[in-house]
Amino acid sequence: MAFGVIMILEKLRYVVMLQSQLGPRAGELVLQEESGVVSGYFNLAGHRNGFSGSVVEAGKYLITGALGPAADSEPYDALFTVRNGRLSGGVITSRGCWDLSGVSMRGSPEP
Amino acid sequence: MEQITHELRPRDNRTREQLCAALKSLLCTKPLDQIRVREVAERCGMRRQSFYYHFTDVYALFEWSVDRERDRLRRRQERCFTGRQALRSLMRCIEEERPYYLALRSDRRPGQLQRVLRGAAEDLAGQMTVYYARRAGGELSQEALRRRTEVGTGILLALLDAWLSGQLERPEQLYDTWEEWMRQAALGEAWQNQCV
Repeated sequence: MAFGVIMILEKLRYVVMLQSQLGPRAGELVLQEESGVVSGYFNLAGHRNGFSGSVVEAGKYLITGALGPAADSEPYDALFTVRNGRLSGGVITSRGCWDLSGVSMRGSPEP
Repeated sequence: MEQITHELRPRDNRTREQLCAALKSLLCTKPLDQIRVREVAERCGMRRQSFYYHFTDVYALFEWSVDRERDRLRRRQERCFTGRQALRSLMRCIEEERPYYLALRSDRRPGQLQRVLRGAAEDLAGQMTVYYARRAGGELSQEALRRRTEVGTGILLALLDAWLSGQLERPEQLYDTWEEWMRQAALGEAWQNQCV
């Protein structure tokens, strides 16, 4: 009989605000991390857009994805850090770099 | 053309939506001034008197439809992140109701199409103007913002009008040129201000 270890990956949720080209867009960012690789999604302005990326260093993430409707989405790279439950960074698009900020929805300090 | 105002129950709103849809379909066959209350009511399977519970006449219903459409366009824009997405969203909205928009465009009273589109075009032009001014490190005076928004609104309305009438196949291409001009103008201005 083989025994395996079941790992439950914790999803980290943040309430975020993105300063887009058309003004602020509020929503959430959900991410999970496993051995240096991250994946998740943004839930912003009524769109759920997935992303993938990596952990640059503890609490610092680099992700890639696209924002907006599937037929017309805006590709981006985003670099952000999470310190004491606060998220801050930027989303780099072909139209400029947009501020991204947020707080953990768990209410307790994150790495 | 005064609209009857009283507290709307959900059923009232549904009836108004029905009347609005009937008016839109009639507008595709004849101009507004030839549409009668009786025809609109009949299309909804209701009596003329029921129409008057909601609107004083066809023009009041038309005004209501314009307000609804303007709101719809603006709500869609709130779901966009870039100016290009907002333009494409406007185009999709128009495409969904193309006969209605063509009827507005060919209405005898000038400017009906612009009345519907202007709010969304103004929002978009204003947001883009502010965005590029801030990116270049500057803040615009209220007067400069107003003037540039007006120019941008005019350009967007002209692009949409040309596209709707079939004179322009891809307004996105010209939109990209306009956005690039705005970006360069904001940078040029910032540079000039530094040199002064």
